[in-house]
Amino acid sequence: MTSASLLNVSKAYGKTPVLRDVSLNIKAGEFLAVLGPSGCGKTTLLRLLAGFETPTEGEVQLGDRTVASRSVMVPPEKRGLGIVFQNYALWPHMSVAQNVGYALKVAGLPRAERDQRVREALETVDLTRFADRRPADLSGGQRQRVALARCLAARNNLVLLDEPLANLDVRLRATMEEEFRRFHRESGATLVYITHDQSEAMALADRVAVMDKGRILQCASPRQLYREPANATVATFIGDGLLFPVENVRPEYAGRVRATLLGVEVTMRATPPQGPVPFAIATCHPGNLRLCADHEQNGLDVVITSRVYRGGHWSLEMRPYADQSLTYTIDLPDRGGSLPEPGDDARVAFDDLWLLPEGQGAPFGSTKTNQSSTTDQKKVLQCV
Amino acid sequence: MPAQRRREVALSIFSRFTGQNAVLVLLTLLVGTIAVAPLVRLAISALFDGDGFAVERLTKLFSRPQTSAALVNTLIIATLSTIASLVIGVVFAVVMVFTDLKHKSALVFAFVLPLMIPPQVTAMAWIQAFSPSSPVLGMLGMAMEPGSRHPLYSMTGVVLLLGVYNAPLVYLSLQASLRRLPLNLAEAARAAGASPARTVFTVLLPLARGGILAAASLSFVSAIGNFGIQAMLGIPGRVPTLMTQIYQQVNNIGPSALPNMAMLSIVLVALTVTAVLMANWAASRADTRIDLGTNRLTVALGVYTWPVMILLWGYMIVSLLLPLSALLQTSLVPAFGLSLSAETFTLKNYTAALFNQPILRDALKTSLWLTSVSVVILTVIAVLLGYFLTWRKGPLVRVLQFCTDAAYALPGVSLGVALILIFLRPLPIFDVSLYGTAWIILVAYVAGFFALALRPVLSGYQQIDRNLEEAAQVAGASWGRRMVEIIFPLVAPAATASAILVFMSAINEIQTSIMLISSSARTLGPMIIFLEDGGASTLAAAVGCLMVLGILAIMLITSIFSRYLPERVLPWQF
Ligand SMILES: Nc1ncnc2c1ncn2[C@@H]1O[C@H](COP(=O)(O)OP(=O)(O)O)[C@@H](O)[C@H]1O
Ligand SMILES: [Mg+2]
Repeated sequence: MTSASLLNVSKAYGKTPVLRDVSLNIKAGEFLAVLGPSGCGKTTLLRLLAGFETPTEGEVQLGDRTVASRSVMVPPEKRGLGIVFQNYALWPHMSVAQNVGYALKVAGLPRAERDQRVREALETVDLTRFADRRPADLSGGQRQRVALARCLAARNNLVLLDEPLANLDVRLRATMEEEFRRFHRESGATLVYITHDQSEAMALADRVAVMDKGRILQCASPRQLYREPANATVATFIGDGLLFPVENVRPEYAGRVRATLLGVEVTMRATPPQGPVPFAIATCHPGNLRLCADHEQNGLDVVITSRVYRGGHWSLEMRPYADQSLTYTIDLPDRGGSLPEPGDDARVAFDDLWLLPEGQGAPFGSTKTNQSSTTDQKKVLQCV
Repeated sequence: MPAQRRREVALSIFSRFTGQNAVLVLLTLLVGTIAVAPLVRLAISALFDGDGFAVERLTKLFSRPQTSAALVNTLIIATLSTIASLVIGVVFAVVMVFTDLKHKSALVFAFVLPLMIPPQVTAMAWIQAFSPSSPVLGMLGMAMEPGSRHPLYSMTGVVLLLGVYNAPLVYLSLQASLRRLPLNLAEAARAAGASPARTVFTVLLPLARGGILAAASLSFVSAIGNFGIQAMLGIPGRVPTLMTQIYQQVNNIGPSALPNMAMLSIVLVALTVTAVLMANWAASRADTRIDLGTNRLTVALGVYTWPVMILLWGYMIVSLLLPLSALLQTSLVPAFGLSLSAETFTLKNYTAALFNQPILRDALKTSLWLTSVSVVILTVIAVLLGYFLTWRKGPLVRVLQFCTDAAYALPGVSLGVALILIFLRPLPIFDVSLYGTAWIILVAYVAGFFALALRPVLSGYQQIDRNLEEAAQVAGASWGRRMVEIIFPLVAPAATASAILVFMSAINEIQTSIMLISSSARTLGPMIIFLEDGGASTLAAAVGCLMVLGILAIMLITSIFSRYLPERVLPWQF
């Protein structure tokens, strides 16, 4: 088990910034997923940890050792970590057993101990029968397991995985997810798992670091990401969150605030020390909205613009009368009752709203001086 | 800040001076010497005399009618033969890449074979093919009248032979770019109603413009640098070219001719560099979109199958059978000009070539060891160099890239002149003279075949996933260990292919050898010219046949083992 940290790390290729001021603390023994769209810099982050790239600014630490900084650069072969590459990177000219035992051979372990550890590793991933095969004669899932066994045999304390499931078909992914969980349990290693698939990240990791455009937007447990996103980008990215402009935010009691959402008085969850602000953004998931019964007065008046049945639930697209430029799509469970048609008026109520801690203070969609908030605002406009 | 920055730079340079960087520095020095030193030496000798810039000598040189004749002839020959090569090579490439013709492997093998035969042997075979006793022409009743002027001893002869000789080069370069053309462009044209043939001519060939220009420049450079054909046909035909002039002047006049010939060598280099730059420019403009994994456009030839077959095989008969049968016949009769019959048949030329001629045996021995040593040195250099050029960045790698490009630009005869200039006097520190020994030829082979050795290895590296090395690196393996245990096994097939190509070219090498050989160090390649000049045509023919036989054997054997070699690095594989 090794902890790993990035301290204010920036990386640029020439003049193109790829990572900007990234700080990340990976605890010993943790299963951390790095989640983000393709091209956002995930692989670069992993290669910085591994030592294939040097940071332009900042420091990389493994355990309590600084491995990269302005004056230090420990090469990958001296960092003692394992990597599972997206394409597995198995050496085609070696047998499965030789692949698994290579790091031990390099380390100069005696033959008997080497064989013993290779055998154990292959047993753990259930590949004992294939020890003498060449990687070319294995299926995709089996190659993946050889790559895992390689890290097991080397007893790597820190294992980096770069989109390990991206090359496998959907059915195999579920089995391999279980394999990774077992690997984490049995090796006790710290795992950094890169992916662009949020369900994979949520299902596997203790914590998920959400990345976009070279920044880490939020690093938190899957549940916290889903229920308490830090900003508009994370909110819309995780579970298709919806964004609503709110005004006149007033604290009610710890962790709860009152506000006006498009003219409707609502209460919502918020981070505890939330002070009063004139403008902010609230979010909820498409399943957290429901149609009001006829007698309910407190709800958002909308016109339905389309209705699609999606097996088990309906997707209703609607525009609020308070601001016709906004569009929301909500999910309603199919309970057999009648639903409004496109063109009908309806009223919806909110189950569970969350006040975004970032991007408060200015009206929805207005320009701000703060750089990151501007991009957040643009996102909001695109998403809703 | 600057001081701190400097300290950091110094620190990082120091901490990174590992085995890998030491090798990189040594390699850069070596390649820099091999590639750049000859050019520099040529330039110095050409431009400066003892008392400064040699204006007067150079003015005289360039106002000599022979000089301008040689320059004009070189340009005309290179241009016209390139056009001929293009016509033949483009047709062949289109048929091979886009049609459903059968027996393509055999056709490609036969088409590329002439390129593997040393040019001096080709030239000799063609000379004999148009002699009064030519078997093929004789059969057709078209043999020459005895006593008439030989039609190939002329500008036309040189152009035609170079055109045929370099056509495979055009095919090889063009087929690679034709294969890369995205299929969906062809499909879009088909969907728009164009017939398959129309699609090839209106969509695919225009798209391959860059590839065609690159092929043209390759064939141009190779025509300029083909000493064997220019010498064997051009010298008796009184068609002087830059190359033959350099050879003759250095040979006849001796060291005093060197400065002027260094200047002509520089002119040769300039022509080559211009063509190479044009090729790079063309390549940079070429459509490089790749569309892998889909089937390529295949035109069903239908009723045209037979005409196309007859055309292609007819071409093979003319370009291969006509010259080689003449060569074989000459090698089997006791004196040149006799036609082959039961009474004239003899194997004495072969027994002479193989057993009775100590000069030939020595030449073969020298060529064999020179070639073997060159192959080993070049393979090691190519594997290391390929690693750095493919996977490393930085100023040293850019220098290395530049030197590698420079090595492409030096024609063999120019290299020969440069090496004479460098080694004429004893080496300063060691006080030994390499001039006149086989070692200078070894230097020439290493410098001359450097580019040839590198190309397959580079394409081999491009097919290796860098993650394989990185995986070994995180496993803790040092650079040297990774090179030996991971990289080398992975590039071994490409390195083998490159070793085969170098072997085949070096064992028969003529241009630099002929400039550098002496009575104490003879190689095989130039022997043909010497025997032919000395009137021993039948013996020369036997030696030529043995060379072709050896080449053919290597080609066939490698074809049998081709599945162990990377795809398409050996030119004769389809
Ligand atoms: N060696 C490199 N040189 C220049 N740009 C690079 C290099 N490697 C990655 N990039 C750029 O950095 C960005 C992030 O790349 P990467 O880390 O691979 O993203 P991800 O893994 O999230 O898809 C991309 O825009 C990519 O083009
Ligand atoms: Mg990536």
